[in-house]
Amino acid sequence: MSARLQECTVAANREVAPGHALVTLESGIGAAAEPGQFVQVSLDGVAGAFLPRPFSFHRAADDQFQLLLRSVGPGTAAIVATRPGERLTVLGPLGRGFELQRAIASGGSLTLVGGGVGVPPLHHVADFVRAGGAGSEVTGAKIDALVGAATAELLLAVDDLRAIDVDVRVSTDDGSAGHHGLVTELLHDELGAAGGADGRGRRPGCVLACGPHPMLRAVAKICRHSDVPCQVAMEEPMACGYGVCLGCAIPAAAAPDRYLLLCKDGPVFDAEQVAW
Amino acid sequence: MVSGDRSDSLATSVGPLRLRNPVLTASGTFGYGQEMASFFDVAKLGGIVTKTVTMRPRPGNPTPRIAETPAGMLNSIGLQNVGLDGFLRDKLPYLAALDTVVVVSIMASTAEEFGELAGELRVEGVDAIELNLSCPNVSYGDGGQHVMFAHAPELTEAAVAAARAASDRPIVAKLGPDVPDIAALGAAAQRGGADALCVMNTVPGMVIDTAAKRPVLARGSGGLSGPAVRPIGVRLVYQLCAALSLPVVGVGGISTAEDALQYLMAGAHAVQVGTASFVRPTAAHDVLHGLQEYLQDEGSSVEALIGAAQRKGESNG
Ligand SMILES: Cc1cc2nc3c(=O)[nH]c(=O)nc-3n(C[C@H](O)[C@H](O)[C@H](O)COP(=O)(O)OP(=O)(O)OC[C@H]3O[C@@H](n4cnc5c(N)ncnc54)[C@H](O)[C@@H]3O)c2cc1C
Ligand SMILES: Cc1cc2nc3c(=O)[nH]c(=O)nc-3n(C[C@H](O)[C@H](O)[C@H](O)COP(=O)(O)O)c2cc1C
Ligand code: FES
Repeated sequence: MSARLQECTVAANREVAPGHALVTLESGIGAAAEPGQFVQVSLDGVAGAFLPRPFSFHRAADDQFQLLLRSVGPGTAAIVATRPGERLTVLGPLGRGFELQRAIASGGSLTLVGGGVGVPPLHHVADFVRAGGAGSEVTGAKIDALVGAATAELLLAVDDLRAIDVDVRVSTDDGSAGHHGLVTELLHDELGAAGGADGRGRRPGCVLACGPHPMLRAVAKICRHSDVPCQVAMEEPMACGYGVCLGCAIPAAAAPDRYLLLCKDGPVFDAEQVAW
Repeated sequence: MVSGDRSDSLATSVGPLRLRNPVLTASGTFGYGQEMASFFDVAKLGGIVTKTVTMRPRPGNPTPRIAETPAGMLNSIGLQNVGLDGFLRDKLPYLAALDTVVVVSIMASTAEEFGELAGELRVEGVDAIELNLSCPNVSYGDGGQHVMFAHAPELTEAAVAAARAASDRPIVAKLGPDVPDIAALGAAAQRGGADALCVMNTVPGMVIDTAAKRPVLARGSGGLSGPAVRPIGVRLVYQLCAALSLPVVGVGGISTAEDALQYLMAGAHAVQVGTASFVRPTAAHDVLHGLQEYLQDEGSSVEALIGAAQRKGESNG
């Protein structure tokens, strides 16, 4: 494991949606980061945030990386409130990311499915592939994204994805943009169309998904029905983030009393590994 | 970095166990050592205590297993571990090659099984055995009918005696906080033949999710650790050291050198750093570094500080 503990300077912090910040940190931690991996941000001193808080990479480069986060409690509120020049202690990169070689090799195109604040690791995937991180031969691979949120203003990273040649379809719970309903309905529709006689879609090589647990469960089910490989980036309360506390266990499909460690075996899993 | 020039001032001993410095890691918070090697040179520590090992592998408790609390956390891991064979095959070789003291924590459901495990661990690379008599997150006895070993003096004595009879290694008995008379448990461990005591395991606790109207942890309750519990641990160590001659290893809520000093001054011969490693993986190293600086500034030594507060404070419990 090559995770490092480092004090990073906040280079920029911008509100990208109500209650959501895109935070740029100056650090070499992102240099080796793979999409789906995460960092632990220490908030020692922030009341109500004793343990570090995990966040996916949204974008990572050699000398800086970005987090896109939603303020839901004391830890995220403190990070959202940081100003350029302030410092945060960060541990990373941690965990196992998406297996992109396998995902792309198995069919050529990727379909990303993101719900709410599950979009960052999927944005990282698209950004990484386009920058040649997954190999120059797949830089131009076809990438579709299905992005869901509660309302239009909470749809994340849609313009950024379109700017790097990702085909984006959106859904909102209130119908204020795109499909009025769940993002999983868009997926159902895509895969149905891909398999159907109208030939509208191409069958994706792999579906990569991140979002709330019920959404991931539905995505896994749809993919299994359509026989499309699926990788999911999951969430679970964590303490250490590097595999020693054994607190972040999730039940494995293999046996009811076998557990996977989210921080070490994941946070990305093949959907078939997980007991949904 | 921890240099060697003043290393004598850091030296301590826990009964027959000689330590280069008083900073060890707490069981269950440092894996089997290897997981931490990318953060700092773990061999610089006074010793490493492993995750508790049981005879057979244990899958651990259902999830969620952890919950954050004010200045601490609750855990209900349930002693998930690789089991004795997995430990000997996959984990011990790395530890054995380190130039530091290796303490293997063990847990069993009967006194006899404690003896069997301790016997199996009479192998190269194992410097001492810590008996986990006080995990709040598992059931005890064959059908789960017994209370925790560290809740009953006679069970504590029997478990220690069985391990003592089976092993020539120093035996450390790890006790828990939720007992009316910690000295009675310490005395029982001493009668059983323990070389030292380790105090304390986590404090039983619960967090309720008010939206869902149920406990956050799948198993209901769990063990509280972190800075929130430190005063409980310091007091228990103080009481034990006032009552007994057996050396004590202090653990509970240590995340800075100042915290470690409190335990040493209460009478502990060494300390363990636990939950703090989750907040900062270099925590044990940082505590050691801070202690070394303190001793340099004060021109003092660990041995001179042990029990310093005992001599000045009234033992009015
Ligand atoms: C591997 C991993 C990657 C993650 N990546 C991101 C990311 O890129 N961006 C991001 O914003 N978050 C991400 N999260 C979630 C993030 O870690 C939590 O939102 C954060 O820990 C909350 O801390 P807090 O102190 O603000 O709130 P807490 O006080 O810990 O929680 C406040 C309340 O919000 C609830 N809550 C916690 N997490 C979420 C959530 N994700 N959504 C809605 N409610 C929640 C809690 O149950 C609680 O009721 C990730 C989590 C994991 C495990
Ligand atoms: C996640 C976690 C797992 C633990 N596992 C064990 C264990 O396997 N065996 C044991 O004796 N103590 C275990 N403990 C207890 C610690 O060793 C220590 O006694 C306790 O946490 C108090 O110290 P701290 O506040 O520094 O963490 C565990 C504690 C935590 C937080
Ligand atoms: S968070 Fe500690 S093992 Fe995963």
